[in-house]
Amino acid sequence: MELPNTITENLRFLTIEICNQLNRACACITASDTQEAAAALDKYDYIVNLSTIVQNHCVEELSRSNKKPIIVAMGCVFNMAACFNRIGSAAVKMIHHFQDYPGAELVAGKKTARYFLTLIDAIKLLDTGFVNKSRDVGHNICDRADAMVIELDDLAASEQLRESHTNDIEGVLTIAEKNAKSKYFLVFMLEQLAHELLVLGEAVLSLENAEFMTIRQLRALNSTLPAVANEAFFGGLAIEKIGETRSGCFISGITEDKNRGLNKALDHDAADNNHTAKNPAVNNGTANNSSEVNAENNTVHSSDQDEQVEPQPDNADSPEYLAIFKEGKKEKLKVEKKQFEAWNELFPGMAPKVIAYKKQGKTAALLVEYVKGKTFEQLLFAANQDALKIAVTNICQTLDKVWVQTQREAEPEQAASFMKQLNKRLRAVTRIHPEYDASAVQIGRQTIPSLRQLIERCNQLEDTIRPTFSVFTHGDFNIDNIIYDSNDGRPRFIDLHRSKYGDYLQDISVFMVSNFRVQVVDPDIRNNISRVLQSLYQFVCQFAEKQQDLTMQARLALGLARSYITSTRFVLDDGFANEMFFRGRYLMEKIVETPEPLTHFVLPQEILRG
Amino acid sequence: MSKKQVKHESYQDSASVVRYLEEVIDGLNKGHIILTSGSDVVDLEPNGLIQMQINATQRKSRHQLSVKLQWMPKDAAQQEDSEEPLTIKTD
Repeated sequence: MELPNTITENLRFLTIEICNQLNRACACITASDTQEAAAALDKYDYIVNLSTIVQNHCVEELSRSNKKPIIVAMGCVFNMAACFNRIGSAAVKMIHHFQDYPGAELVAGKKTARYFLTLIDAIKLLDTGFVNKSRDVGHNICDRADAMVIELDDLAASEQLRESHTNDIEGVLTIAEKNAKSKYFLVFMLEQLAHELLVLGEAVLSLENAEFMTIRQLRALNSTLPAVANEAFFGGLAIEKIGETRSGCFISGITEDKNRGLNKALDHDAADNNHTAKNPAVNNGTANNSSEVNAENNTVHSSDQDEQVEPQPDNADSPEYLAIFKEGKKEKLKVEKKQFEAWNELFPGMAPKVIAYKKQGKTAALLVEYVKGKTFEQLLFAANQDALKIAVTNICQTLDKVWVQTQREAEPEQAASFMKQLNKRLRAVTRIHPEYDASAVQIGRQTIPSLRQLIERCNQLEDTIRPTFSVFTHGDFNIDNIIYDSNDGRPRFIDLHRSKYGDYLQDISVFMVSNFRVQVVDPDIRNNISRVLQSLYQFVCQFAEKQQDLTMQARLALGLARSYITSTRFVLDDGFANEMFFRGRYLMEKIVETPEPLTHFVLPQEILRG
Repeated sequence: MSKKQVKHESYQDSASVVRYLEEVIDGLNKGHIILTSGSDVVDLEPNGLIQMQINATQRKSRHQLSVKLQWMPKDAAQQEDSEEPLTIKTD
């Protein structure tokens, strides 16, 4: 996008000044040039001022607009100014260190000037009107930064510089030891500068793509995108960030955008890629659901499971994507890819199709079909009782089918172990709500147990009520992970990396609580939530009865308790967090109070109130 | 003496509430009830004049009944008794 003149001009001045500053630092370090050192220290304030001016302009622009392209552009420029500021500061630190250092040029070695030159040449690219060729400039800067980081890392390794730094040398340092430490400092600072260069390159690319992305994410996208960028698309492709998971997975939607043309920004080698994978969902331009982030679902379900309910047309105007792109830890995405395939093998179309998968080092990229429809959360908010009822009925029918078809004898490790799950997350809960870790309370002869005592006792009891069979579970059955298309009445599942054979109550309890924990007070929506909870409960009771699952009620109580309590770690509002915590505790107290065997236990119905 | 406190909040059904309140009633009858939580111990001896405050509210979304009992501890009451009586002099 076109940047305002005031910003462009000051950025140019800043670029020129930073290059000069790096030149001065280089002269000071490699040629012990004291005059240049003094000039550099003198000019640092000017660099700070220029950075501040650019950042102030960014803030002014932001205050005038809340449009996304402006927000992204100003964010990028702001980052660039901050980056220049840090480069200026690093140069000053290096100069201070080497200003009066005897034989600095020997410590620095011959290659040092070349590193500075690399930095200066890369930054100069910005001065040549980067706005018009930001794709090339951004990639070029990032490539140079990467190469420099690798080279410096090799240098540090070959000369064992890190060891010289970390060795705890006692007494007065010898000249050799002092030089080794100084050289390590120099290499360390150059590495920092190379990282800053990378940030600059990423800012330039984000500016072009109108979306914040790291070079790693962009390269991953570049390696998978040819799978959809086939002849079906004549226009450009654009990316829209959908979110990032807590595990650091970057998720974005790919859209067609003739105005912005992501493929312009993508590496040129995309054109050379012969990948011609086709995806029906992509080729016919439909897209699937977007919200694959931290989903938790809730569905409402009608008690009548005998008939498929006629779906109603979906007039949703939710954004549609050509595909969904995920980038993150390799082990997670690898598992997710396998699970998508496993689900589609068992139930064709139940999960998004995998379009492409690429791994690089510890990270991987996954391009999957976009599933059309609404998340269950969106249905809940739409507050259309009839539509919600139909959706719940269809979701329950689907679950029934999945559970019946995948049912197998349970292995011991397939028990949900809800209390162990709760224990594992207890620290995260009490970090946010330390009061939940209170001691037991004694009133006269009566004791109200502490949470830890309840978990311990319930854990013992849970061992006595293991399920007799396992089913293929979703593993993270939240309201955001179920996509429902009211046009065909079919639910589809996303975010499947935790899928495994286990207790069906794992999915149901997570689903129920993810409905409950929607933080809305609107009475209509809360009523919808109540209906969903009751419908799900009825459905699961019917299923358990058919399967003669006698301990379902007690396991469900523990599953709900687990989800209610662990959910509080994401809720800062004390009132709402307490509501969930009290529910969880209450269920556990009821379990503990119930005389064994727990086959007699009945879930307290008041817990189903949304 | 620093304030001693035992505090608890949870959901309970009526039967459980009765169970805990019966302990409180028993304590009132005996003139002695101990509440503990971890190392915190509150040893109460309800006696003498007990200030009772009952507050019942009925709102659309929540009903509430609170009973608050306050009294002066025995040692404080004795200390008060031993103090010089208030005298008013006139010239």
